[in-house]
Amino acid sequence: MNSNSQLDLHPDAESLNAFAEQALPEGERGQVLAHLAACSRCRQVVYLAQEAASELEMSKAADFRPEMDRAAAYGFAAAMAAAPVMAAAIGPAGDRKPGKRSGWWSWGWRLAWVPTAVLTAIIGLAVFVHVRQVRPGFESGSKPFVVLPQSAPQQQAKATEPSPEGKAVAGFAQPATPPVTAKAPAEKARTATALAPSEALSAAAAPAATPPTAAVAMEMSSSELNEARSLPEAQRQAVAAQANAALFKQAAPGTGASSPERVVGANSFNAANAGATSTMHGTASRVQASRSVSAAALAPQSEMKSATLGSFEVTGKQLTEPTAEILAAHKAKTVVLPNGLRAVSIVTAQLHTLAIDRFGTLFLSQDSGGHWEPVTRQWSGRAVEVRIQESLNVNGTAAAGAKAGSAEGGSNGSSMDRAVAPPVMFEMVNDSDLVWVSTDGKTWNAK
Amino acid sequence: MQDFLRDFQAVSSLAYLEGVGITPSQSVDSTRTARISVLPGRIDPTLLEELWRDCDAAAYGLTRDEFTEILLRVGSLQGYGLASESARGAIPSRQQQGTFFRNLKLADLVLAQACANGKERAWEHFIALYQQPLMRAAIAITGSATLGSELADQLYAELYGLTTREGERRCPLESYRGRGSLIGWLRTTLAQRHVDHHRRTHRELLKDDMEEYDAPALDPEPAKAGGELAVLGKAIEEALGGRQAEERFLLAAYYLDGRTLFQIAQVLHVHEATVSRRLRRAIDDLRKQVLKSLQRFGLNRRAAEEALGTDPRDLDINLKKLLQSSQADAFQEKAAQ
Repeated sequence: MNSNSQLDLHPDAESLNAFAEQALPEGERGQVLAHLAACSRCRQVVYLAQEAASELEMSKAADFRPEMDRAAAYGFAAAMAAAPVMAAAIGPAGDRKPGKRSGWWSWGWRLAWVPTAVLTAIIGLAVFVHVRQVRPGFESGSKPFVVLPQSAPQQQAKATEPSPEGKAVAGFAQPATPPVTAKAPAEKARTATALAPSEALSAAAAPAATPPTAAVAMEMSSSELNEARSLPEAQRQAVAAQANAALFKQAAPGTGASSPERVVGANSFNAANAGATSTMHGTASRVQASRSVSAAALAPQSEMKSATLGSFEVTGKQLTEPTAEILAAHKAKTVVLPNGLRAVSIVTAQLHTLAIDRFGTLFLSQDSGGHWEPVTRQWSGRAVEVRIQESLNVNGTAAAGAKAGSAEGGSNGSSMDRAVAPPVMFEMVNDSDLVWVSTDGKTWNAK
Repeated sequence: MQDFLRDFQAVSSLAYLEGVGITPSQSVDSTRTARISVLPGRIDPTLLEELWRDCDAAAYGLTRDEFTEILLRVGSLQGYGLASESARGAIPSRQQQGTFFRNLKLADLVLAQACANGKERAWEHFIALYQQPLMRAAIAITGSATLGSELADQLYAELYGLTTREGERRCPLESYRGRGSLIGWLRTTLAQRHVDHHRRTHRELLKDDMEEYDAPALDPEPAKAGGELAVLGKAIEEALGGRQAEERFLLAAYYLDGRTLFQIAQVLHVHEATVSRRLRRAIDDLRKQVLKSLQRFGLNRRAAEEALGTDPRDLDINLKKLLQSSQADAFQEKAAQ
């Protein structure tokens, strides 16, 4: 050990540096350490040299940092691109100063960016894949008709099991166009199968026929379905009848014209629904399967007699408006009357809205449901239904049709207004099937 | 552009030194070459060829003979890294020589020795490689750009052989033997210069201060230490004297110098947690040792423990002196030899 290079008896710079770099043999290291323990001057030298080394390393890292910042600022795409760039940059950085030997820590700093960039790329890819997987779900919400071709036959097969009647209905549903169904409707159809065989049939047939309305009708929540199922039979029939009537009214312009784009679906309407309040005549028409979904959802216990009604041919476009009607009818069920009860039958025409609660009390609103006033009783028995009497021309045959207020809420009148303005005549039916009529909703006369 | 600036700086530095009448060739002890040539031993030719190629000595303007002499000199000074004295006397085998030289920073060593030999090309390399790091290190050590550049300039002048001793120019690079890196050696040398300068100026300032201001009032004479305090002081002296070098270093660095665990860990190349653990163990051992000594001096255990709770200000001991009184005998002995 060279001990006399300095003013006093201290290890020289060679020994101290070798000690700091752990390049001394064990014996000499012990001697230097013993000296350091006793010599504050040499300790100070070692500390200062270490601090200077740290400063140099930090300045090297600072020189390298701008490249890193740039790479970090590029975000996901740039991080992916930066990974190989950084890996390539490490080589030249090391070659730039051949005389310098940098410590492992500086390389560790640099190499840490490579896995970071790779990790960022993986995370970004995962997010991208996730978004792509989620997006069809959103699309199915807005465009419910996009979907798996296999689902329809599967649903049909499932639907045919419960009853022979269902087989007939399902067999009736022959899609004219390749069935494209969304996952969500398919799942809802599966939910519908749990309700009742007849409902299952209807729901299963819906995606096969690719109705635009089917998905809308199936957007009803299960609670709504259960509520509808709990309604009295007559009210359910009324609901179905109203839906039927609305559908027929829309389908009327298209009768007799059979075009390739028209979709023929299974007609699962209940004859009782139609027969309860209206008589349907005309050409054999087929009601689209989607109707059956909504109708079946509203009246799950109703009997399905599909072929007996005849059929319509309606386009998907024509079906959208009645579907909105039906949907609105369901929403109207939430109408609460001044006595705190919900309306069981409600009808609207020309800003006049009439509603009956479950005790037969009639209420009139002249501002589309904003304010209600009770109507003085002028009839016998218990009012069970309120409806609008109008002329309905189906297939050129004049028939008196009545659009019944839905048990769960009546039509909102929009389709009525769009119809050819017949004189509005409100009808009220009591529990003995006697009918009273009124033009203003206040004064009622026996029919 | 950077290469141009680097070359320009190197040439400027050399031109400055030559302008003041100094040339690299004159800066080295002229007798050293002759001294090297008579060094005993021989390096295996194939090993020599490998080392010559590895460290690119020709680029520094060294001849093969000069290179061989440098290796022989360094090898003989360090006994080729052989541990025992008997082994040091024997001629090392090719494998031992190879192991020894490959464990050195041979490229740095050759560059430093070539600079010390006054090779101009070596100086160009040196300035290109170490000018900026040396300046940064000097600034980091002094904490000031002005002082740092001044310190670095002084070291440059010294390295270039401007200082003379006994009529001979001395180049500090001669003392570099390649065990650590050359930049580390330069940093340590800078730190030594700075600490020495600071100590000199600090003493001068103290002296000036004492002349300028009134001497502070002396502390009142401490109360006469009782028997217990005397025993305690003696026990502490004994305990500290028996500590290992590393423990004393830890205690001194942590308690006297006020260094952090991280700084100490950097010096010892261990983790901070290791330093903390060793420090705690040293304190515990020290306490036990003091307790034992106190009991040996006649105190019972309870009294010994009470004695450990004594206010340190009542003790008439100088811990700094105690820790540093055990001077590195090895250095003194070696110096005497």
